[in-house]
Parts: sequence; C-alpha cells; structure tokens
Amino acid sequence: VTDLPRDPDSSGDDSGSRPGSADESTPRWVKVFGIIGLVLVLLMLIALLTGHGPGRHMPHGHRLDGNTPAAAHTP
Amino acid sequence: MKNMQPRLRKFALTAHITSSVGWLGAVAVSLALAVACLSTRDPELVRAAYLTMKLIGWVVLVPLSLASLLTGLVQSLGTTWGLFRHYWVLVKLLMNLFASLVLLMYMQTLGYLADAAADTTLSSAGLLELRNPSPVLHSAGALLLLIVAVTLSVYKPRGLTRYGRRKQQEQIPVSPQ
Repeated sequence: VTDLPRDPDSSGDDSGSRPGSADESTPRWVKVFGIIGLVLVLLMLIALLTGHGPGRHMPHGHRLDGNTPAAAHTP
Repeated sequence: MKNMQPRLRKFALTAHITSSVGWLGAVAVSLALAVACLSTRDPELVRAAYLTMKLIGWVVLVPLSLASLLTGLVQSLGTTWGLFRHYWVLVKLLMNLFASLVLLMYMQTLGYLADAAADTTLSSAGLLELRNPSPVLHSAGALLLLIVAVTLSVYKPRGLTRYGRRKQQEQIPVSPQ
C-alpha cells in the first residue's frame, strides 16, 4: 500500500475511489492474478503432500537429523 | 479504523516502503548467494553461502517480511484505501501472506542445509553434494513476487471489490428532494 493519490486524473482522490471504478465486473487483471494464485497454492499443496516440503530438499544421503552418511565424512 | 493524521500516515508509509523494498533487496542478495552456491566447485563457498543464507533469512528476511505485512495492514486500515475495498490492496495482502508463509516454511529447509554445511567433519565431496537448485528457485520466485507487489503499489490498477462498491455507495450523499 502506498500513499494516497492526489491527482484524480491519474489515480483517484483521497476517498480511495477512482473515476469509473464503480464498474460491476471484476477487472481482467484480477482474474489473471486469481488464476496464477490458485495455481501457486495448488503447487504448494501438491509439494507438501508429496513430501517435497520443508527439510525435503536435502541431497540423497543427508538425513534431517543433521547426520550424514559416513562416506561423506573425512576419515 | 479511524483515518490516520497526515504526519502519522507519512510515517507509516515510510515504514511500509522501507520494510517492503528492504525485503526485496535482501531476497536479491539471497538469490546471488544461492546462484553462487549452486554454480561453484569450491566446497568452502558452499558452506559459507548456506550459513550466510540462513543468517540473512532469520535476521533480515523474516523480520522484514513481518514488518512489511504489519505496516501494510496499518497503512491500509488507517487510510480510506481500506483493506478489502480495492482489488490491488487485497491482492497485495494475499501475496504478502503467501510469501511470508512460504518463507517461514522454507527457513526449515535452509536450516537443515546450513546445519549440514556447518558440519566440519564433512568432506569436500560431501559439501559439494549439498549444492541444490531449491534456494535459487525459491529466491527467484520471491523476487518476482515482490517486484509484482511493488508494481501494483505504483500503478494501483482500477477495480473495486463488492465490499468496496457497497462502501462507495454508502458514502455518496443523498441529494435533497
């Protein structure tokens, strides 16, 4: 959220409303953002449900308890 | 919520811009570290990068994300913009919540990677094995999201929500008969 607009021609007035903004239909940009947002949330849920969530990005062989296989350690 | 006085509003706005743009800058630094970590063949750089990313995450990213969310709420609720009246304000709120949630969850992953990298008994090969594209993907995604948020703040695209239209109708004075 940025400062309130002062120039009614560019971005409305201090009431926070815009000329012609009373249009009943949902703007196209909101629909596009909504679709992208839904896809992102779905991807996140799928990642979590398939075990790709936090702590699962470790390379093979590294366990979440901080222990690593002996082969990766120096002798 | 009652509208803030102009001086207080300017102060809140300054705090919101500072925290939001600071968050964006810190994400850019994290992306640079993540790319360096992924592309290097130097095991010590991998260790340093993960430890630094974890530090930046907890000391800079998380506090700034929460500050951005909090100051954004104050800024919207304390002005006539409102929180649910304009689509661009609402979209920014949802983006901020999403980014903060993913960041908090991802800090666990970063913690595991940093803890593994901090293990001084880990061999060079083991350190290089820790290289992972995940921090690059998460940092790049966050950077893109925050750039979109800044763009929304500047352009303020038109569009009133149903609630916003109702509020607007309520504020139109009824002309005397």
